[in-house]
This record gives sequence, structure tokens and C-alpha cells, in this order.
Amino acid sequence: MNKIQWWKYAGVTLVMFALIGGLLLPVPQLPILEQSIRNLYYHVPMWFGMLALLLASGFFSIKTLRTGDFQNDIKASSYAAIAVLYGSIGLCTGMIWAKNTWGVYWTNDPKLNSAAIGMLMYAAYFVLRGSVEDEEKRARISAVYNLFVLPVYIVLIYIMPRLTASLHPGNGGNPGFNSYDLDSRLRLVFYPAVLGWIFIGFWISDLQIRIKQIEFKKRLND
Amino acid sequence: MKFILNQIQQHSSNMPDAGDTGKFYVVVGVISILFLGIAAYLVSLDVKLKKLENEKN
Repeated sequence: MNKIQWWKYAGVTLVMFALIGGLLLPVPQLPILEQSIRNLYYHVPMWFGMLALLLASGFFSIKTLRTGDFQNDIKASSYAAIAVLYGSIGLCTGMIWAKNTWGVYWTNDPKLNSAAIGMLMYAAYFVLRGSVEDEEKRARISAVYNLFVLPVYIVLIYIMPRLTASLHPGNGGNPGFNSYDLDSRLRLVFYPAVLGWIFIGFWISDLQIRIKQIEFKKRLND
Repeated sequence: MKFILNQIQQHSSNMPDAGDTGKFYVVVGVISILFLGIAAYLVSLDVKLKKLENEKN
């Protein structure tokens, strides 16, 4: 059992491919975006990764409530933590991209503000966790909060911006993402990048989960 | 894999402006090493955790 699971190596391979391929493979010529379209391979997978991790977190929150098992709460909180890390990287990379295509780091765009609100909601998740001493209570309260926040987050990020005008591609009649997603040259790198970064995200979460499990066992033994 | 290599070769031979792409491969190399280093660190962490887990059980 000393082997490292296959999907971890798969993640490294896919991300390596996306890093190198994303820089070297040809991209379509687009106005304004120009070569910065390559950010599609680095910025967007962060948000896909975040969504995957949050769904995993929600899944284990449901399990926490159904079984009352503390182990599930460890998993739910670790996935959420790495999801927030991915989201923060997504926000920062998005800001650099915005500065160079829209001219400003931040605008009052529905997609951007929703993302910021979503991140704050998850920040509150960790504040809430930190404020409850009793472990069982913390597990249940944070699971309920997580399951309340997850649908709100999805609505904020993926539905609400599409209902209004937005600068961000893929929203409010802004063709961006869909039109360049049709390009098979972009797809060739984009899909491996998304999958690879999801695997890496789950790997980092896995490490955190196992550290917490060891800590938990140690506390039981003491 | 062959298709990808072909694409890279084709692309590098007819890049629009040579001035923009001079020694670009150096950057690609640096980024690759950077990520491989992080990946190797993750692997070593994983192995260390495995050892700890085996000790506990």
C-alpha cells in the first residue's frame, strides 16, 4: 500500500501537458485578447477545480449529517479549504487578465462581484468552524452551513451573471467563452488542464485530510 | 503524442514575429521545472504521510 494512486500522477502529467502545450501550441487570433487567450488554460481551470472541490465538500457535508461521522467533516472542510485556495488564485489571475484586457483590475461586474461574495461566504464557513469548540457540534453546524452556501454559490457564480449584462465571457449575451471554446485547438489543451488541476486539487486536499486524520487519532490516544 | 509534437514543430517554424519568440523555450523549461519541483514535493509529502499512517495502525 505504499504506492501513490494513479490519478495523482495523471494530474501531474495532465497539468504538465497543459503548461507546456498551453504556451507552445497555436491559439486562434482574437482581438483585444491576443496571446492572453492562453490564460484560458490557467485561469479558468482554477474555477472548474474550485467547483469540483466544493461539490466534493458538499457531498461529504451530506454524509456528515447522515452518518454523524467526524471523518466526513474532516473531508468536507479540507475540500472547502483547497477550493477557497483555488478561488483565491482564480481571483488574482482574473484580475491580472482583466487589467490587460478590460483596463482595470476590478470592475463592478456581476460575475466578479458574485465571485467575491462567494469567496466571502466560504471565508465565513471557516470563521464559523473556528468559533465552535465542540467537534461534533462543529461538524453538524458547518455541514448545514456548507449545504446552505453551496447552492447560493452556484447560483451566484453560474446563474446570476448570465441573467444580466456582464463583461466576463460566457455571461449575459457575451459570447466569449462559447465562441472560442468551439475552437478545437483550445479544447485540446483546455480539457486536460481542467482535469489535471482538478486532480491536483484533490491531491492537495487528500494530503490535508490525512494530516487531520493523523492529528485526530493522536488526540484520541492522548 | 505525435500529433502534439507535430503541432509544436509546425507552430514554432512559422511563428509570426521571431523577435517575440526568441528563447521562449527557456521560459517553458523554467515553468516545467518549477511545476515538476512542486509535484515532487507533493509526492514526498504523500510518502511521508503514508509512513506516518502505517506507524499509527
